[in-house]
Amino acid sequence: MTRHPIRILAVPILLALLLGACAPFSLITPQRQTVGDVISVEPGMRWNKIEMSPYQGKVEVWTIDGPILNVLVFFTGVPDGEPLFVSRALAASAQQEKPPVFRAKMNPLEIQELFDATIARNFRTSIIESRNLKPVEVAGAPGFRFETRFVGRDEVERSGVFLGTVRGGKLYGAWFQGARLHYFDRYVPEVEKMAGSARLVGEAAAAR
Amino acid sequence: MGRHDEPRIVAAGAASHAMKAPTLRATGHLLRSALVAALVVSLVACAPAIQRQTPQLQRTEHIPRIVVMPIDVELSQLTAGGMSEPNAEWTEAALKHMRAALEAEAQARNVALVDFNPEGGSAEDRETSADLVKLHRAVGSSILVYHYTPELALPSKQGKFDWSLGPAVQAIAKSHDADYALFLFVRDSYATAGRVAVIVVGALLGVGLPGGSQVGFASVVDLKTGDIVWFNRLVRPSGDLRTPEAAAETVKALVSDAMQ
Amino acid sequence: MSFTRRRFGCALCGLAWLTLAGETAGQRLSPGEPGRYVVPGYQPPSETDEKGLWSLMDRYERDMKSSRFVVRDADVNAYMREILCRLADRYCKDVRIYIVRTPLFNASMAPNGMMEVWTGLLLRCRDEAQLATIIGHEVGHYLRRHSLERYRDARSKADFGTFLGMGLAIAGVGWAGSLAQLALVATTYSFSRDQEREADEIGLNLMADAGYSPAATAEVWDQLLAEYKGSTAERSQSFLFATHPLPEERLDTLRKAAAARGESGDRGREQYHARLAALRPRLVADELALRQYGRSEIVFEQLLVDAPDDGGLWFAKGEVYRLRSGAGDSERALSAYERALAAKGAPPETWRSIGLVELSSGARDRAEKAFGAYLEAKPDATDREMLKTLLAQ
Repeated sequence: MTRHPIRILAVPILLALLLGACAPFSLITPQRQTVGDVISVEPGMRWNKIEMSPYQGKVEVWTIDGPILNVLVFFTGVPDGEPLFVSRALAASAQQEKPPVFRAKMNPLEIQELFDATIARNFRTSIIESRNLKPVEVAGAPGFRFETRFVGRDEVERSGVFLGTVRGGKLYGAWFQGARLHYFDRYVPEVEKMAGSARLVGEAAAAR
Repeated sequence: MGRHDEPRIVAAGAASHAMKAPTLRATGHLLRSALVAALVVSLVACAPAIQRQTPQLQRTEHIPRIVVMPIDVELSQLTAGGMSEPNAEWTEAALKHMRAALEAEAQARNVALVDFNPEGGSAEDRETSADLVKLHRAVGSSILVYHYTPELALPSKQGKFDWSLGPAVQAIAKSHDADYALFLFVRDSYATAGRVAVIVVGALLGVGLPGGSQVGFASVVDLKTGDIVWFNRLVRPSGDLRTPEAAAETVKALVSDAMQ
Repeated sequence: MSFTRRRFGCALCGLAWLTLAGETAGQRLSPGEPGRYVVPGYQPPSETDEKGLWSLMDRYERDMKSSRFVVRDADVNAYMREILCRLADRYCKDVRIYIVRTPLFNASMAPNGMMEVWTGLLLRCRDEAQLATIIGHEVGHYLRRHSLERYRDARSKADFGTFLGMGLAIAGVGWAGSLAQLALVATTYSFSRDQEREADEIGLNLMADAGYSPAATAEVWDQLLAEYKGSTAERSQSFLFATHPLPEERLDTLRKAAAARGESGDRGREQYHARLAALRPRLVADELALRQYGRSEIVFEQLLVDAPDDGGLWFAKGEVYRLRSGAGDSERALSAYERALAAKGAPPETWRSIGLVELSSGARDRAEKAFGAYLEAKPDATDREMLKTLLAQ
């Protein structure tokens, strides 16, 4: 299981071949659109939606420079009893222990704790720190935000921002993370703008 | 423990701007390899190995000074069982040969090289530099996967080569008084005698096995902006870094016209 | 769950392969015995496979030096060196200890003298003598060049792939490519029974000679076994036990071996707690983040036996219950937090957690009081605004 480039290339190539026409990325153009039928956003620039999402769960994942460098995870209604997400690598490794899960009655402090534990587990790191938890409006509903920071196993430090709101017992929102050097700073203005444009729609809008 | 020279199906993902079309064999086992080989040929046509964002290094005020970042090279033996076993002596020798070859290239191109000094600059500079090296690995991997593989292209980029380490690189510019940084990454494996034997037997039975390969990339980073202004991917079945002459050839293939 | 940053497996398998130490009680092995141990300042001859292995490990160690997962606290590192030098002073300069932030119990020794100690181990050791047990054991592996022996053995048997597979399965490979991979193999593959027995004996002798109480040796394993047994739900996730089964009779043998060397000697409990005090909150937080409630509960209970007046530990115990949030856990959590506040050194977060539990049970008034106390104790709390909003709702 060497991680040098030749092996990194091999799997995606074969995967792409075997899956035929299914492209791993699809273009997101800068116009209003709905994510997961529940969050309407207006990106200000082109993004890439990762069709073969690296995370399992009620999420949709976008990126600009590829998931190693930056990732925007939309939470499209995480229900009570489910983890925020489970990385495919972790899921594939047949872990028997149960992951920590979201509970509808959780308050933002507890959701932030859940987030930290989710990162620690999925990225196999102890170096995770979330701070500056604040109440804010998220997608037109009362919500919360906090800043995130973690160092992954590749030793790259990643900064992030998490925005969330709980409606009808489900968690909606998004988490943007990017390499602390350059990538996070470069795109966080776009993310903030997009967040400002966000609205809950569909079943999320109907819920309380 | 030489490289074997028989025609072979290269390992999945291997491509090279200098390779010959592989021989196809019609066994079920090799369908996968054949597909890959076909892909490989098409990749050769589609994705030029060298990405150049600027016509040349800036030479207006002074001779360009390039910081040679710690060369990330590793030479391994591919054992009979197919395991990659790093060889320290080869790796140490390769480092020396490559550095010497770079120096020769630099002189020919009228460019000054300075070795990266991890102890240079303030404590903050040192930490930033260390983090930039780690970031470069991540960016280099991203380029290899998402730029050089058409199926994995990021549509938002629209084919543009747009990758950067960001302005934090100025820490390196400052502590080394340099204009550019050169990163080299090479993983090189050589078939052991046992491996060669297995391959020969395999060939007789109609089964192709990778015999060893050379994979690498080189990048030049503008130390004002952090932008990667020159990038080259090298993936090929041949090449040898264990002797000065062969290493010079590899460096030439890798670094090419980076220093022009 | 595998947290390893580098790949560490088996170093503490001493107990797993312990044989009847009684047989060798009469043969005290001492460092310096000619031909049996590396000499102080040892460097392998060039052009040998050993030299190759050392060079690889040296390169890996360079990466390690800049790793974000290494604890750099000057005092903690100085403390490690003090223990090391007390145990093996002539070899003190040949061994470098790196403390790696991985919340699992493990330590290992690379062929070139690079030792890793994981923070999960630092959390679980209850005194200096217990930590000395581990360090002494690892030094034993170094003195007898067990890594090299196994490496050669594996190569000759063409078992390399097996080792690699095992090592990778044990550890979870990091990014750094095949250099780290071999570093992995070189440091993680199983030592043989004889080698583990040797390392145990050497460790025991080093400890006794250095004036530590040999009784600590068996305790470390006793504690781990208790943790393992008590956490059935999470047993499959136990890093150590998945790879090294610990039959009780072996623990028994070790106890006898330690007893044969006497009980008296330093334990260094207070010193151990004092020197690691600054690090402990991080160790506790890392352990809690694993969400392995059964195991964590046992670990904190064990630590509380030694330090019943440690508010931080009572808080930690409370957190286990609060995060688990099963039936009856609210009461257990509150009870533990109360003990924390009555004890010494409870962190301000204790109040915050009380507030969270009370809020979750609908006791708004009590929650308000608790959050108020938290904000007073920690005026720079970055979630101040959020707490106020919660109460206002």
